[in-house]
Amino acid sequence: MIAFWFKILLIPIVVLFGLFIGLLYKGIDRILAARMQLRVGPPISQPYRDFKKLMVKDNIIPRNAVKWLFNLMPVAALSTTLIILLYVPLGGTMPLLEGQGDLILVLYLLIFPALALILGGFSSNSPYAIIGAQREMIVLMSYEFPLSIISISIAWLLSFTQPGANVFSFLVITNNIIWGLVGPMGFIGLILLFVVLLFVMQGELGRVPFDVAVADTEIAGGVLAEYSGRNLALFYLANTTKVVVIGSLIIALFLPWNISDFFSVAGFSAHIFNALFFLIKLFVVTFLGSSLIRVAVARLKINQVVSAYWIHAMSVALLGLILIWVDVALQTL
Amino acid sequence: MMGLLQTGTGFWNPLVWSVSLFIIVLLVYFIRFFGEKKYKPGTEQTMPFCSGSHPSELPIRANSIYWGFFKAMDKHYKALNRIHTGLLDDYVFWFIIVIVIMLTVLSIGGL
Repeated sequence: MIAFWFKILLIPIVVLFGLFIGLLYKGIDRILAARMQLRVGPPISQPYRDFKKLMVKDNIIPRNAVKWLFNLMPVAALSTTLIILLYVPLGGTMPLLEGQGDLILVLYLLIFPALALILGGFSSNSPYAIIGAQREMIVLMSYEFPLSIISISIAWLLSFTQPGANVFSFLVITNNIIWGLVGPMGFIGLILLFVVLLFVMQGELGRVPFDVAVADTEIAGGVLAEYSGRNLALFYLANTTKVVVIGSLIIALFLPWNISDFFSVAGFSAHIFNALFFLIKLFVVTFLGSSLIRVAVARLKINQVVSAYWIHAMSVALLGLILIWVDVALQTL
Repeated sequence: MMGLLQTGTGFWNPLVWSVSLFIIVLLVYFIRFFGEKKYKPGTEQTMPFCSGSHPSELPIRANSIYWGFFKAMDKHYKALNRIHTGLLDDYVFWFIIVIVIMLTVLSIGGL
Protein backbone atom coordinates (compact mmCIF):
# COMPACT_ATOMS: atom_id res chain seq x y z
CA MET A 1 0.00 0.00 0.00
CA ILE A 2 2.88 2.36 0.86
CA ALA A 3 4.44 1.58 -2.52
CA PHE A 4 1.16 2.52 -4.19
CA TRP A 5 0.97 5.95 -2.50
CA PHE A 6 4.65 6.51 -3.29
CA LYS A 7 3.87 5.87 -6.96
CA ILE A 8 0.96 8.30 -6.77
CA LEU A 9 3.37 10.96 -5.47
CA LEU A 10 5.60 10.34 -8.50
CA ILE A 11 2.80 11.12 -10.98
CA PRO A 12 3.61 14.88 -11.19
CA ILE A 13 7.25 14.03 -12.03
CA VAL A 14 6.20 11.74 -14.89
CA VAL A 15 3.76 14.42 -16.09
CA LEU A 16 6.46 17.11 -16.07
CA PHE A 17 8.86 14.75 -17.87
CA GLY A 18 6.28 14.08 -20.60
CA LEU A 19 5.44 17.77 -21.05
CA PHE A 20 9.06 18.91 -21.09
CA ILE A 21 10.36 16.19 -23.43
CA GLY A 22 7.34 16.57 -25.72
CA LEU A 23 8.03 20.29 -26.22
CA LEU A 24 11.77 19.66 -26.58
CA TYR A 25 11.25 17.06 -29.32
CA LYS A 26 8.79 19.38 -31.05
CA GLY A 27 11.57 21.99 -31.17
CA ILE A 28 14.05 19.44 -32.54
CA ASP A 29 11.48 18.23 -35.07
CA ARG A 30 10.88 21.77 -36.33
CA ILE A 31 14.60 22.48 -36.71
CA LEU A 32 15.23 19.21 -38.56
CA ALA A 33 12.21 19.73 -40.82
CA ALA A 34 13.44 23.25 -41.61
CA ARG A 35 16.98 22.08 -42.39
CA MET A 36 15.67 19.36 -44.71
CA GLN A 37 13.75 22.08 -46.57
CA LEU A 38 16.86 24.31 -46.69
CA ARG A 39 15.41 26.74 -44.14
CA VAL A 40 17.06 27.97 -40.94
CA GLY A 41 14.07 27.11 -38.78
CA PRO A 42 13.08 28.36 -35.33
CA PRO A 43 15.22 28.03 -32.19
CA ILE A 44 14.83 24.83 -30.19
CA SER A 45 12.98 26.77 -27.48
CA GLN A 46 10.25 27.90 -29.91
CA PRO A 47 7.57 25.38 -28.72
CA TYR A 48 8.01 26.63 -25.12
CA ARG A 49 7.59 30.21 -26.35
CA ASP A 50 4.55 29.22 -28.44
CA PHE A 51 2.96 27.68 -25.36
CA LYS A 52 3.74 30.78 -23.28
CA LYS A 53 2.29 33.02 -25.99
CA LEU A 54 -0.92 31.00 -26.22
CA MET A 55 -1.37 31.23 -22.45
CA VAL A 56 -1.51 35.04 -22.57
CA LYS A 57 -3.86 35.26 -25.55
CA ASP A 58 -7.65 35.71 -25.22
CA ASN A 59 -9.46 32.45 -24.55
CA ILE A 60 -12.27 33.00 -27.08
CA ILE A 61 -15.42 30.90 -26.91
CA PRO A 62 -17.35 31.11 -30.19
CA ARG A 63 -20.95 32.28 -30.31
CA ASN A 64 -23.47 29.42 -29.86
CA ALA A 65 -20.73 26.94 -28.94
CA VAL A 66 -21.47 24.32 -26.28
CA LYS A 67 -19.40 26.20 -23.70
CA TRP A 68 -18.84 23.51 -21.05
CA LEU A 69 -17.87 20.90 -23.67
CA PHE A 70 -15.72 23.39 -25.56
CA ASN A 71 -13.77 24.20 -22.37
CA LEU A 72 -13.66 20.64 -21.04
CA MET A 73 -12.25 18.90 -24.11
CA PRO A 74 -8.75 20.48 -24.06
CA VAL A 75 -8.43 19.39 -20.41
CA ALA A 76 -9.69 15.90 -21.32
CA ALA A 77 -7.29 15.64 -24.28
CA LEU A 78 -4.21 16.54 -22.23
CA SER A 79 -5.25 14.51 -19.16
CA THR A 80 -5.94 11.34 -21.13
CA THR A 81 -2.67 11.74 -23.04
CA LEU A 82 -0.68 12.19 -19.84
CA ILE A 83 -2.25 9.21 -18.07
CA ILE A 84 -0.95 6.86 -20.79
CA LEU A 85 2.57 7.84 -19.73
CA LEU A 86 1.91 6.07 -16.43
CA TYR A 87 1.23 2.75 -18.19
CA VAL A 88 4.05 2.60 -20.77
CA PRO A 89 7.74 1.95 -19.98
CA LEU A 90 9.61 5.27 -19.81
CA GLY A 91 13.32 6.01 -19.63
CA GLY A 92 14.38 2.37 -19.73
CA THR A 93 12.36 1.47 -16.62
CA MET A 94 9.06 -0.29 -16.09
CA PRO A 95 5.85 1.81 -16.18
CA LEU A 96 5.02 3.72 -13.03
CA LEU A 97 1.72 1.80 -12.78
CA GLU A 98 3.24 -1.55 -13.81
CA GLY A 99 0.83 -4.38 -13.07
CA GLN A 100 -2.17 -2.01 -13.00
CA GLY A 101 -2.85 -1.95 -16.73
CA ASP A 102 -1.66 -3.65 -19.89
CA LEU A 103 -1.22 -3.05 -23.62
CA ILE A 104 -4.96 -3.38 -24.28
CA LEU A 105 -5.66 -0.60 -21.79
CA VAL A 106 -3.07 1.63 -23.49
CA LEU A 107 -4.67 0.99 -26.90
CA TYR A 108 -8.06 2.00 -25.48
CA LEU A 109 -6.63 5.08 -23.77
CA LEU A 110 -5.03 6.19 -27.04
CA ILE A 111 -8.53 6.72 -28.45
CA PHE A 112 -9.51 9.27 -25.79
CA PRO A 113 -7.35 12.25 -26.87
CA ALA A 114 -8.64 11.91 -30.43
CA LEU A 115 -12.22 11.68 -29.16
CA ALA A 116 -11.68 14.83 -27.07
CA LEU A 117 -10.46 16.60 -30.20
CA ILE A 118 -13.53 15.41 -32.13
CA LEU A 119 -15.99 16.51 -29.42
CA GLY A 120 -14.18 19.83 -29.07
CA GLY A 121 -14.56 20.39 -32.82
CA PHE A 122 -18.25 19.48 -32.85
CA SER A 123 -18.94 21.76 -29.87
CA SER A 124 -17.33 24.75 -31.64
CA ASN A 125 -20.32 25.63 -33.83
CA SER A 126 -18.00 26.31 -36.75
CA PRO A 127 -18.27 24.74 -40.21
CA TYR A 128 -14.50 24.31 -40.48
CA ALA A 129 -14.27 22.74 -37.03
CA ILE A 130 -17.13 20.35 -37.82
CA ILE A 131 -15.44 19.29 -41.07
CA GLY A 132 -12.21 18.82 -39.13
CA ALA A 133 -13.97 16.76 -36.44
CA GLN A 134 -15.57 14.55 -39.09
CA ARG A 135 -12.18 14.03 -40.72
CA GLU A 136 -10.53 13.27 -37.37
CA MET A 137 -13.16 10.62 -36.76
CA ILE A 138 -12.40 8.98 -40.11
CA VAL A 139 -8.65 9.08 -39.46
CA LEU A 140 -9.18 7.57 -36.00
CA MET A 141 -11.25 4.69 -37.41
CA SER A 142 -8.70 4.17 -40.17
CA TYR A 143 -5.50 3.75 -38.16
CA GLU A 144 -7.06 1.73 -35.34
CA PHE A 145 -7.30 -1.37 -37.54
CA PRO A 146 -3.59 -1.74 -38.44
CA LEU A 147 -2.64 -0.73 -34.88
CA SER A 148 -4.76 -3.60 -33.52
CA ILE A 149 -3.21 -6.08 -35.96
CA ILE A 150 0.30 -5.06 -34.87
CA SER A 151 -0.50 -5.41 -31.15
CA ILE A 152 -2.25 -8.74 -31.58
CA SER A 153 0.61 -10.06 -33.76
CA ILE A 154 3.16 -9.34 -31.04
CA ALA A 155 0.95 -10.80 -28.30
CA TRP A 156 0.29 -13.87 -30.46
CA LEU A 157 4.03 -14.36 -31.06
CA LEU A 158 4.71 -14.09 -27.33
CA SER A 159 1.91 -16.54 -26.53
CA PHE A 160 3.81 -19.20 -28.50
CA THR A 161 7.22 -18.51 -27.02
CA GLN A 162 6.03 -17.70 -23.47
CA PRO A 163 3.07 -20.04 -22.89
CA GLY A 164 1.08 -19.15 -19.82
CA ALA A 165 2.59 -15.66 -19.53
CA ASN A 166 0.40 -12.55 -19.63
CA VAL A 167 1.36 -11.55 -23.16
CA PHE A 168 -0.26 -8.11 -22.98
CA SER A 169 1.76 -7.14 -19.92
CA PHE A 170 4.57 -4.66 -20.62
CA LEU A 171 6.75 -6.61 -18.21
CA VAL A 172 6.50 -9.69 -20.44
CA ILE A 173 6.77 -7.68 -23.66
CA THR A 174 9.92 -5.78 -22.67
CA ASN A 175 11.63 -8.79 -21.06
CA ASN A 176 11.18 -10.89 -24.21
CA ILE A 177 12.67 -8.97 -27.11
CA ILE A 178 10.62 -10.14 -30.07
CA TRP A 179 13.44 -9.94 -32.64
CA GLY A 180 15.20 -12.85 -30.94
CA LEU A 181 12.10 -15.05 -30.93
CA VAL A 182 11.76 -15.43 -34.70
CA GLY A 183 13.69 -16.81 -37.66
CA PRO A 184 14.49 -14.92 -40.91
CA MET A 185 10.90 -14.99 -42.18
CA GLY A 186 9.47 -13.79 -38.90
CA PHE A 187 12.19 -11.12 -38.80
CA ILE A 188 10.93 -9.70 -42.11
CA GLY A 189 7.39 -9.89 -40.74
CA LEU A 190 8.41 -7.85 -37.69
CA ILE A 191 10.12 -5.24 -39.87
CA LEU A 192 6.88 -4.86 -41.85
CA LEU A 193 4.90 -4.42 -38.61
CA PHE A 194 7.43 -1.85 -37.38
CA VAL A 195 7.15 0.18 -40.60
CA VAL A 196 3.34 0.12 -40.42
CA LEU A 197 3.49 1.26 -36.79
CA LEU A 198 5.61 4.25 -37.83
CA PHE A 199 2.86 5.20 -40.32
CA VAL A 200 0.21 4.72 -37.63
CA MET A 201 2.26 7.12 -35.49
CA GLN A 202 1.76 9.85 -38.10
CA GLY A 203 -2.00 9.34 -38.02
CA GLU A 204 -2.06 9.33 -34.21
CA LEU A 205 -0.14 12.59 -34.16
CA GLY A 206 -2.23 14.13 -36.94
CA ARG A 207 0.82 15.08 -38.97
CA VAL A 208 1.49 15.20 -42.71
CA PRO A 209 0.43 13.19 -44.72
CA PHE A 210 -2.44 12.35 -42.34
CA ASP A 211 -3.17 15.87 -41.04
CA VAL A 212 -6.48 16.19 -42.90
CA ALA A 213 -8.31 17.05 -39.67
CA VAL A 214 -6.43 20.32 -39.19
CA ALA A 215 -5.17 21.01 -42.75
CA ASP A 216 -4.39 24.73 -42.28
CA THR A 217 -4.29 25.54 -45.99
CA GLU A 218 -7.62 23.82 -46.73
CA ILE A 219 -9.88 24.20 -43.71
CA ALA A 220 -8.05 26.84 -41.66
CA GLY A 221 -7.02 24.60 -38.79
CA GLY A 222 -10.16 22.44 -39.04
CA VAL A 223 -10.98 20.88 -35.72
CA LEU A 224 -8.92 23.53 -33.89
CA ALA A 225 -10.14 26.49 -35.99
CA GLU A 226 -12.08 28.10 -33.12
CA TYR A 227 -9.68 27.29 -30.31
CA SER A 228 -7.40 29.99 -28.94
CA GLY A 229 -5.59 31.02 -25.78
CA ARG A 230 -5.22 28.55 -22.93
CA ASN A 231 -7.61 26.01 -24.50
CA LEU A 232 -5.45 25.83 -27.62
CA ALA A 233 -2.34 25.72 -25.42
CA LEU A 234 -3.65 22.56 -23.75
CA PHE A 235 -4.37 20.92 -27.12
CA TYR A 236 -0.86 21.96 -28.19
CA LEU A 237 0.63 20.27 -25.12
CA ALA A 238 -1.52 17.17 -25.70
CA ASN A 239 -0.13 16.87 -29.22
CA THR A 240 3.51 17.33 -28.23
CA THR A 241 3.15 14.90 -25.29
CA LYS A 242 1.55 12.33 -27.57
CA VAL A 243 4.89 12.10 -29.39
CA VAL A 244 6.45 10.82 -26.15
CA VAL A 245 3.50 8.46 -25.59
CA ILE A 246 3.53 6.88 -29.06
CA GLY A 247 7.33 6.87 -29.21
CA SER A 248 7.51 5.09 -25.83
CA LEU A 249 4.92 2.56 -26.98
CA ILE A 250 6.91 1.79 -30.16
CA ILE A 251 10.12 1.49 -28.11
CA ALA A 252 8.41 -0.88 -25.63
CA LEU A 253 7.09 -3.10 -28.41
CA PHE A 254 10.01 -3.14 -30.82
CA LEU A 255 13.13 -1.58 -29.25
CA PRO A 256 13.10 -2.37 -25.53
CA TRP A 257 16.86 -2.85 -25.17
CA ASN A 258 18.77 -1.16 -22.36
CA ILE A 259 22.38 -0.12 -22.62
CA SER A 260 23.51 -0.56 -19.00
CA ASP A 261 24.20 -4.30 -19.44
CA PHE A 262 26.33 -3.59 -22.51
CA PHE A 263 28.57 -1.24 -20.51
CA SER A 264 28.34 -3.42 -17.37
CA VAL A 265 27.00 -0.50 -15.35
CA ALA A 266 24.87 -1.06 -12.26
CA GLY A 267 22.98 0.95 -9.66
CA PHE A 268 21.98 4.56 -10.19
CA SER A 269 24.45 5.00 -13.09
CA ALA A 270 22.62 2.23 -14.96
CA HIS A 271 19.36 4.20 -14.70
CA ILE A 272 21.08 7.31 -16.09
CA PHE A 273 22.60 5.33 -18.98
CA ASN A 274 19.26 3.67 -19.77
CA ALA A 275 17.35 6.95 -19.56
CA LEU A 276 19.78 8.66 -21.97
CA PHE A 277 19.62 5.67 -24.32
CA PHE A 278 15.81 5.84 -24.16
CA LEU A 279 15.91 9.51 -25.20
CA ILE A 280 18.14 8.61 -28.16
CA LYS A 281 15.77 5.83 -29.20
CA LEU A 282 12.84 8.23 -28.82
CA PHE A 283 14.63 10.71 -31.07
CA VAL A 284 15.29 8.05 -33.73
CA VAL A 285 11.67 6.86 -33.64
CA THR A 286 10.22 10.38 -33.83
CA PHE A 287 12.64 11.30 -36.60
CA LEU A 288 11.80 8.22 -38.70
CA GLY A 289 8.10 8.15 -37.87
CA SER A 290 7.35 11.85 -37.91
CA SER A 291 9.96 14.39 -39.07
CA LEU A 292 11.21 12.47 -42.11
CA ILE A 293 7.78 11.44 -43.38
CA ARG A 294 6.15 14.84 -42.94
CA VAL A 295 8.90 16.56 -44.89
CA ALA A 296 9.13 13.92 -47.62
CA VAL A 297 5.46 13.68 -48.62
CA ALA A 298 2.43 15.89 -49.19
CA ARG A 299 -0.93 15.74 -47.44
CA LEU A 300 -3.26 12.96 -48.54
CA LYS A 301 -6.93 13.46 -49.30
CA ILE A 302 -9.36 11.96 -46.79
CA ASN A 303 -10.28 9.03 -49.04
CA GLN A 304 -6.56 8.40 -49.63
CA VAL A 305 -6.03 8.31 -45.84
CA VAL A 306 -8.66 5.59 -45.56
CA SER A 307 -7.09 3.63 -48.45
CA ALA A 308 -3.59 4.08 -47.01
CA TYR A 309 -4.58 2.58 -43.66
CA TRP A 310 -7.41 0.17 -44.47
CA ILE A 311 -5.99 -1.26 -47.69
CA HIS A 312 -2.22 -0.67 -47.85
CA ALA A 313 -1.16 -0.54 -44.19
CA MET A 314 -3.54 -3.33 -43.24
CA SER A 315 -2.34 -5.54 -46.11
CA VAL A 316 1.29 -5.02 -45.10
CA ALA A 317 0.45 -5.66 -41.42
CA LEU A 318 -1.44 -8.85 -42.32
CA LEU A 319 1.50 -9.95 -44.49
CA GLY A 320 3.76 -9.37 -41.50
CA LEU A 321 1.43 -11.45 -39.31
CA ILE A 322 1.34 -14.28 -41.89
CA LEU A 323 5.15 -14.29 -42.15
CA ILE A 324 5.44 -14.53 -38.35
CA TRP A 325 2.83 -17.31 -38.32
CA VAL A 326 4.71 -19.29 -41.01
CA ASP A 327 7.99 -18.70 -39.16
CA VAL A 328 6.55 -19.99 -35.87
CA ALA A 329 4.96 -22.95 -37.69
CA LEU A 330 8.33 -23.85 -39.28
CA GLN A 331 10.07 -23.62 -35.90
CA THR A 332 7.56 -25.94 -34.25
CA LEU A 333 7.79 -28.57 -37.03
CA MET B 1 -3.69 -5.16 -5.27
CA MET B 2 -7.24 -4.12 -4.49
CA GLY B 3 -9.53 -3.57 -7.46
CA LEU B 4 -7.40 -5.35 -10.09
CA LEU B 5 -9.64 -6.83 -12.77
CA GLN B 6 -8.25 -9.81 -14.67
CA THR B 7 -9.92 -11.23 -17.76
CA GLY B 8 -7.54 -14.12 -18.28
CA THR B 9 -5.77 -12.36 -21.15
CA GLY B 10 -5.65 -8.79 -19.87
CA PHE B 11 -5.80 -6.81 -16.65
CA TRP B 12 -6.39 -3.30 -15.37
CA ASN B 13 -7.21 -1.56 -12.15
CA PRO B 14 -10.06 0.98 -12.50
CA LEU B 15 -9.49 2.34 -8.97
CA VAL B 16 -5.84 3.17 -9.62
CA TRP B 17 -6.79 4.56 -13.02
CA SER B 18 -9.47 6.81 -11.47
CA VAL B 19 -7.16 8.12 -8.72
CA SER B 20 -4.37 8.77 -11.24
CA LEU B 21 -6.72 10.50 -13.65
CA PHE B 22 -8.08 12.69 -10.85
CA ILE B 23 -4.55 13.82 -9.93
CA ILE B 24 -3.63 14.49 -13.55
CA VAL B 25 -6.84 16.47 -14.17
CA LEU B 26 -5.99 18.61 -11.14
CA LEU B 27 -2.49 19.20 -12.56
CA VAL B 28 -3.93 20.12 -15.97
CA TYR B 29 -6.41 22.54 -14.41
CA PHE B 30 -3.49 23.99 -12.43
CA ILE B 31 -1.65 24.69 -15.72
CA ARG B 32 -4.85 26.07 -17.26
CA PHE B 33 -5.38 28.38 -14.28
CA PHE B 34 -2.31 30.43 -15.30
CA GLY B 35 -3.72 31.12 -18.77
CA GLU B 36 -5.66 34.22 -19.78
CA LYS B 37 -9.35 33.80 -18.92
CA LYS B 38 -10.79 36.87 -20.62
CA TYR B 39 -12.32 37.45 -24.05
CA LYS B 40 -14.95 39.80 -25.44
CA PRO B 41 -18.34 38.02 -25.48
CA GLY B 42 -20.94 39.30 -27.93
CA THR B 43 -18.40 40.99 -30.24
CA GLU B 44 -17.10 40.06 -33.69
CA GLN B 45 -14.34 38.18 -31.87
CA THR B 46 -16.75 35.34 -31.07
CA MET B 47 -18.08 34.88 -34.60
CA PRO B 48 -17.00 31.46 -35.93
CA PHE B 49 -14.38 31.82 -38.65
CA CYS B 50 -15.92 31.17 -42.04
CA SER B 51 -13.59 32.86 -44.54
CA GLY B 52 -15.78 35.98 -44.57
CA SER B 53 -19.08 34.15 -45.03
CA HIS B 54 -21.77 33.75 -42.40
CA PRO B 55 -21.67 30.25 -40.80
CA SER B 56 -25.27 29.64 -41.89
CA GLU B 57 -24.13 29.91 -45.52
CA LEU B 58 -21.93 26.86 -45.10
CA PRO B 59 -24.15 24.11 -43.68
CA ILE B 60 -22.31 20.84 -43.08
CA ARG B 61 -24.41 17.72 -43.61
CA ALA B 62 -24.02 15.05 -40.95
CA ASN B 63 -23.87 12.24 -43.50
CA SER B 64 -20.78 13.76 -45.12
CA ILE B 65 -18.79 12.15 -42.30
CA TYR B 66 -18.61 8.87 -44.19
CA TRP B 67 -17.62 10.40 -47.51
CA GLY B 68 -13.98 9.33 -47.13
CA PHE B 69 -14.96 5.74 -46.44
CA PHE B 70 -17.46 5.58 -49.31
CA LYS B 71 -14.93 7.04 -51.72
CA ALA B 72 -12.01 4.86 -50.61
CA MET B 73 -14.04 1.66 -50.46
CA ASP B 74 -16.04 2.42 -53.63
CA LYS B 75 -15.14 -0.85 -55.41
CA HIS B 76 -15.93 -2.84 -52.29
CA TYR B 77 -19.34 -1.20 -51.90
CA LYS B 78 -20.17 -1.74 -55.60
CA ALA B 79 -19.33 -5.44 -55.25
CA LEU B 80 -21.50 -5.66 -52.14
CA ASN B 81 -24.35 -3.82 -53.86
CA ARG B 82 -24.28 -6.34 -56.72
CA ILE B 83 -24.75 -9.33 -54.39
CA HIS B 84 -27.31 -7.48 -52.25
CA THR B 85 -30.26 -8.68 -54.36
CA GLY B 86 -33.03 -8.75 -51.74
CA LEU B 87 -33.75 -12.45 -52.44
CA LEU B 88 -33.76 -14.71 -49.37
CA ASP B 89 -32.24 -17.60 -51.33
CA ASP B 90 -29.17 -15.50 -52.13
CA TYR B 91 -28.67 -14.50 -48.48
CA VAL B 92 -28.91 -18.14 -47.32
CA PHE B 93 -26.42 -19.06 -50.05
CA TRP B 94 -23.91 -16.45 -48.82
CA PHE B 95 -24.56 -17.45 -45.21
CA ILE B 96 -23.65 -21.08 -46.00
CA ILE B 97 -20.56 -20.01 -47.98
CA VAL B 98 -19.27 -17.89 -45.06
CA ILE B 99 -19.93 -20.72 -42.56
CA VAL B 100 -18.00 -23.14 -44.79
CA ILE B 101 -15.05 -20.72 -45.05
CA MET B 102 -15.02 -20.15 -41.27
CA LEU B 103 -15.16 -23.88 -40.50
CA THR B 104 -12.38 -24.55 -43.02
CA VAL B 105 -10.15 -21.90 -41.42
CA LEU B 106 -10.91 -23.23 -37.93
CA SER B 107 -10.21 -26.81 -39.05
CA ILE B 108 -6.86 -25.83 -40.55
CA GLY B 109 -6.04 -23.94 -37.36
CA GLY B 110 -6.82 -27.09 -35.37
CA LEU B 111 -9.38 -25.37 -33.15
